[in-house]
Amino acid sequence: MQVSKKISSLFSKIDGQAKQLFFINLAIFLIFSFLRPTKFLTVTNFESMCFQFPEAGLLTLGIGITMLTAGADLSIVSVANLVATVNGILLLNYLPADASGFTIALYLILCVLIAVLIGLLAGCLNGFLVAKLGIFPILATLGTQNLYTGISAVLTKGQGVFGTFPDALIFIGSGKLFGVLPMPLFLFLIALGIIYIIIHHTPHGLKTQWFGSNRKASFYCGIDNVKTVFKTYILSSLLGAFTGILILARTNSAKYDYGTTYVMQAMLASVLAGISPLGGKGKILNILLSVFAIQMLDSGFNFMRISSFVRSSTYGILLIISVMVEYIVMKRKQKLEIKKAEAAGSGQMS
Amino acid sequence: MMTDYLKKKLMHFAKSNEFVVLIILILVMALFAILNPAFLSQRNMYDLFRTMIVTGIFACGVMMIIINGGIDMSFMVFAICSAYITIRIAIAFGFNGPFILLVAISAAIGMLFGFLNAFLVNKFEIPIFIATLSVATAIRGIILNFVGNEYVASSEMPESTVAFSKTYLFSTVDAWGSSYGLHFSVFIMLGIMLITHLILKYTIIGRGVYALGGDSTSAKRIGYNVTKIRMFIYGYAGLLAGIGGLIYVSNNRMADPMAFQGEELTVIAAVVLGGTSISGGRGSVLGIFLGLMLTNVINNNLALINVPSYWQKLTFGLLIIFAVMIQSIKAKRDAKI
Amino acid sequence: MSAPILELTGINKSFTGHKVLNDIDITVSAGEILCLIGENGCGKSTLIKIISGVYEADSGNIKLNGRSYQKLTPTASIKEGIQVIYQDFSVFPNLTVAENIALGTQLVEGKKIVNWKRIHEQAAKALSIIGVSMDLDEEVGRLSVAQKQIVAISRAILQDAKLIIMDEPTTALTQKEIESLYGIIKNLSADGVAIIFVSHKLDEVFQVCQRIAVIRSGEMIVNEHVENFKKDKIVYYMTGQEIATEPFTYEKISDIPLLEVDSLNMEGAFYDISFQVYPGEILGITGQLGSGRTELAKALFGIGQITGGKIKVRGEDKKFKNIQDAMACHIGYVPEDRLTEGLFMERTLVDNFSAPTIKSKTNRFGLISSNKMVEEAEYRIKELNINAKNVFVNANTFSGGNQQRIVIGKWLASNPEILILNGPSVGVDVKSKSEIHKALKELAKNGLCIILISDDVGELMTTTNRIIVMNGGRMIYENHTEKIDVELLNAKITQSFVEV
Repeated sequence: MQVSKKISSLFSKIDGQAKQLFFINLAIFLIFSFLRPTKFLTVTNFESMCFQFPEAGLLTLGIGITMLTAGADLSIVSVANLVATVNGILLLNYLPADASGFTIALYLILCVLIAVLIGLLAGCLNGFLVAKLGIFPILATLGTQNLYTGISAVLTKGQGVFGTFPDALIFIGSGKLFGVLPMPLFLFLIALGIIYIIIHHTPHGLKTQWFGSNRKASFYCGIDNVKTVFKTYILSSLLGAFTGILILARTNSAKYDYGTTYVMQAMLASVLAGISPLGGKGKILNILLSVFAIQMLDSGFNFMRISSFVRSSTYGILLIISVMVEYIVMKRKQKLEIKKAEAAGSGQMS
Repeated sequence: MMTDYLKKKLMHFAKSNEFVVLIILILVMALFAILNPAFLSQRNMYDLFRTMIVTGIFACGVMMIIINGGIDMSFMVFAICSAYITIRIAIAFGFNGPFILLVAISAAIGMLFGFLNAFLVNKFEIPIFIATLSVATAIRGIILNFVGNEYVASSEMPESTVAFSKTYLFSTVDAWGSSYGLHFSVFIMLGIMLITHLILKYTIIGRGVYALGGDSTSAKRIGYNVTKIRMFIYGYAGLLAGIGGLIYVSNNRMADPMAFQGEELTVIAAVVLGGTSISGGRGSVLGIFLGLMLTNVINNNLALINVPSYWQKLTFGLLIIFAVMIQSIKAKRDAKI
Repeated sequence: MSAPILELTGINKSFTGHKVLNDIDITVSAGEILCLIGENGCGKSTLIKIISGVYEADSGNIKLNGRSYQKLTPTASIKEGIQVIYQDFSVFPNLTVAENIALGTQLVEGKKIVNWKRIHEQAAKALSIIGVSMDLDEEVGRLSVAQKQIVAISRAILQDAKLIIMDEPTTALTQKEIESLYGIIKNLSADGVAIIFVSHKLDEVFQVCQRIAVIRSGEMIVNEHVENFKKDKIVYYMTGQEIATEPFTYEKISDIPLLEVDSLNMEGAFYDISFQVYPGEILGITGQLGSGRTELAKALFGIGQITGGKIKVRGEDKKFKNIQDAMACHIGYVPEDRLTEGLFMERTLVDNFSAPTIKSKTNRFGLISSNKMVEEAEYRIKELNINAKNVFVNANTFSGGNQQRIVIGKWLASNPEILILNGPSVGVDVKSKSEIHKALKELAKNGLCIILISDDVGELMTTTNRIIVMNGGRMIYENHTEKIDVELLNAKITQSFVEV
């Protein structure tokens, strides 16, 4: 008796958006399993998806947290590409071919440090423009996006970086932890956990949500809004930077214009996860479900031989629909609350 | 009396964003000219204007949207899709008629696309960036899937478009016997810029664009119909996109529905550089003209000063960052007065 | 008796269950100057917005120039000759003076093309009527507040209005400009234009109005010719209470002032402000809009740049670079506008109550302790008698009175020693207001220093033990509340704007 009560109370506490996403995932799963059972409904397919979606997932986390502040970090993909480029050049041109395991490890640590450094620098520039100078986030990050992409382009003279990379790196992109868990998924889950804790369980995270909800009220509470936004963009760029390592590890290459569709996908996944582009709302854990849903969609489309343009077209349509739905739901909720308040009269509410 | 008026006008201009851009433009052009005198050659100047044609047309529409507080990411897709659909229809019907009719059809299609944006922004209060980005990707996919994704080669392009592409005003022949000149469409661009300027300055709805961008509540209070103004802004931007797109495919003698990918930023950067403010409801045609000149001068002539083309993105990014920083500093300084 | 321009009968309006206007009847005839008086939050603004078509009444009848309207739009209202000059002036900062003044005329006339020559002519004409000269091509965003107001008034005068509603129009004008405005109003009235003059300043009311209508908590209390009024009667109608209620008695707790302000200056806002506040005191600071009182309150909370003078907390010199510095001295601030400055409307009570003190709501790992936050919220809703089913509901589900208590509660959570409140009972129902006053008196008895910025004479008289009146950025009067009578206080407050 007690167990079922506990379960039902837990169930009602689960975010409404999460429930919706669960059903969306279920629907997509069923539809494509029905349409392409031999190709879609296989362990290999799902395993391969688990190698692919963490990339989009990390980028969604980054864009998602900036959306909480009513902004958007459009430069996150280019930060990733920059890190991939720099690390790629480092490993291909400077790592001796016969290096010992120890040297390789050292170089890989250097790669991580470089990623952190680039992430911090990029985040600081973004943060400075958006938080300190108050520039419209989309404009500012559109500019820095070109800057970071440009640096990658200059470093590679417009070409990409290709080559053979050390096994340790390849393992990050294609290996399985304990032989079961795909490394990218493992890394994504760690990042998801960290960001979840930061946004929902630390003062900074709450301040981020409050800023998005009402920045004036936030100011009058003595919260340093500039610091809050600054930290958000740094966090986003750091996520982008680590995605860069993942991209290098998985594709064994780096190109300055890789993944341009990721921005829109990430925005879609964020909105589906319940993050409003106007800021102030959203649950981080839902990102796992929304990114996975989009990955299944992508995979299914792939098996149905649907062109990439149509795919991104679907994302566009889905994004419009989800924003529209969110608007309609919000308006309806407002009307309900007004009706409730009026029905109760001045009794309950005074 | 006259000089007083002129002096006042000049003083107002000197305080404006456009003035800053003009100074920067002059400095940059001087820099390029010093580094390579070939920069100032007639051929190069004609080339500069040629690259400004299509983006100049787009910029007029984009400017209005930015004045109203949002970034439009759809105009390029609308441009190429309207043009592509028009060309395909023309070929399907064996069209042999006048060029202007093709332009009109493309413009009409573009305008309808623009109304779609207006609908989403008006009815569902969707942020402009998201609305336009999603509509653009949605439409491109739909067109590619249902109309076709093969490009139309020059041999198949309608007669009138090919004829148009060869219409030059001012043709010259250079020392090596090859001819170059100023294409007629430059004047279309200038004409559209002039018309846009006249609309913005001399029509009630044009002033409404600024009023809405300055303070939407006050605009409603003095009697403006916000829905109508938005439909005008997005419809006009779509219309211009259609025109620009058709001119583009004509001049290139090819209609490739996959063109224009990721190039929105070029236009947006030019508009912002030219002083159009996303938060202040300010912007002018003169500004976007100067901004476009600046971005094109820099982009086209990197080779002239021995800078490889892969530096383009970098210089671009720096330009935008620079532009928005100046705008923000200027706005802060103005607010302190 | 001329035909009425405006006839409202039985107007009702509610927002989210809160009744803002209750069965309002009002009639204005041509050439009449009617004064609409009421405290902040009494419903005046809503009434004006209904007359101008911006809001729709829930029920009731609107007749403009004899024509009945079921659903009144701004354009229809303007066409009937209704012009409103809002308190925020409704100007376009990115357009020129000339355009701000004259564009609306051509818009309403249905013109498609702008006649710039006419715009300049009309703008110049309007300005000359008021007797002010301004650069017609200057961007309005660069103008001062007073200049923007002149632009707004000029716009209304221009549009051949039949009824002009002016919402606190003289707050930032100089004496000369005010006299000039009265002259214009009287001329307009002689020309048959009706004026609704919304004001706080009782002296002004008697100088310029023919009839007075007092609104209190959404109800029309009285609507009479000005001859039938005495000033103190107006105060009674506005507040609904005889000011014979027990004033607040201060019991001295300590000889050391908690807060001391010495020749404090903020360039452009206030000058040479000096006073002390002792624990257990409730100090009222009042003055018209523009007197510098809000800037002073904010300066004590770390907002704004002090250009001279000292602030001392417990005898120590303090410099506040930002709000955090002020909070470190245990100062709290309840802002003017609870909706946009005081609350996270779409967040729960749990969030709202702990926002300023979030740093202390962590566990030993530095992570948020939701227990601590929930406990805080539950404690405060009991302490302040807030009507809430649980603490997990959003702030926007509460009425104004409860919302105000939430804002006060979140500052109480920071254990302040000095609490500054700016207009805490604006738009709050009578019951909540008295509860807030009770709470403040309790807090003072427990040793807090309370500084109360208020326009509400009744509130000042019953809740404070000392009052300071500011005008033109300076302190012009200071006394113990028990030694002040209402008439004197009103006179001091409504004294003509002193040019700095």
